[in-house]
Amino acid sequence: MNWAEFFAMDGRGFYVWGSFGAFLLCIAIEIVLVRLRIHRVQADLREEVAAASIQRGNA
Amino acid sequence: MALFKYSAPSAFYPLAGKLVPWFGAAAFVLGVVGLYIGLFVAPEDFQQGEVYRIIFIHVPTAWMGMFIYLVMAMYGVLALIYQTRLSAMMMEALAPTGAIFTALALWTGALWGKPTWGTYWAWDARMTSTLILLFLYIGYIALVNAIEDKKRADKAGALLVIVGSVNVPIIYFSVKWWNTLHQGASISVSGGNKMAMTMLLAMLIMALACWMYSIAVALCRVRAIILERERHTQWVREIKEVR
Repeated sequence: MNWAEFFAMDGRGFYVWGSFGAFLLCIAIEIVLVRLRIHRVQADLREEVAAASIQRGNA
Repeated sequence: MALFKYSAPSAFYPLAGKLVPWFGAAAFVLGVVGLYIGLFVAPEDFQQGEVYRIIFIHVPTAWMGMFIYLVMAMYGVLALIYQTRLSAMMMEALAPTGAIFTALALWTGALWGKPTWGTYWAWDARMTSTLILLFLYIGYIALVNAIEDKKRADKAGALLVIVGSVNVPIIYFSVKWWNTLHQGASISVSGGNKMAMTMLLAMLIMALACWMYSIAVALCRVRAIILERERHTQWVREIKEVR
């Protein structure tokens, strides 16, 4: 198989790769955002729990 | 009953955590196989040439856009009838993924329309109703985020999604009910399919990959939503990720 021909897609490469590219890009961005979201809330909670246990220790 | 046991966020949070990697792995493997068959194995279309390969993204994303909306509407009914917190959280977890798939269906449809019909966009029944689906998703997300009181936000969001679900059959049957620029269904239960076997296979595998992906990403997002909403409860302070 000829790679240049494959990427050209009959001269319709812009449309084909514009579709496949947008699909993969959206999925990649969504995965990153979802992971950031759960890691952020877990980190927040860790801080809160740690702060609460220090307070208990001082009391 | 086991089903009801897991409708408690405290029970569902660890279960979802165990399920995410499995659905994620299934999505990845199916996606690689589907893309491989779609790009390298499936033959060129005798009418459209290579550009038809957009179908392997376009149809699965369009299906998921509609399907996720119906799943949200089902959770909306559960949220209104049983007042289960988890149902409303699942709606919130699914909405961004449904919106992304709907946007991708419109985007890939435009990129497919230009070389085959000569236009990126037409106010055709299917395209217009799919655009309305995207607005319903965006409207739901905006509405839920605009209302401070979570209980009221959930109720309003559930109502919006349930009322809006009338749009999904309109999208699905639009190509039958009206004369549309958009072509009819490529596959149907009754009439058999009009595609080569490998083309159909690639499309179905990609659809399955999108399905697994949606489950994985929605379960991961619902875990974040559970922690955000239940952050002041005791059980959240006792999970291992926090201690």
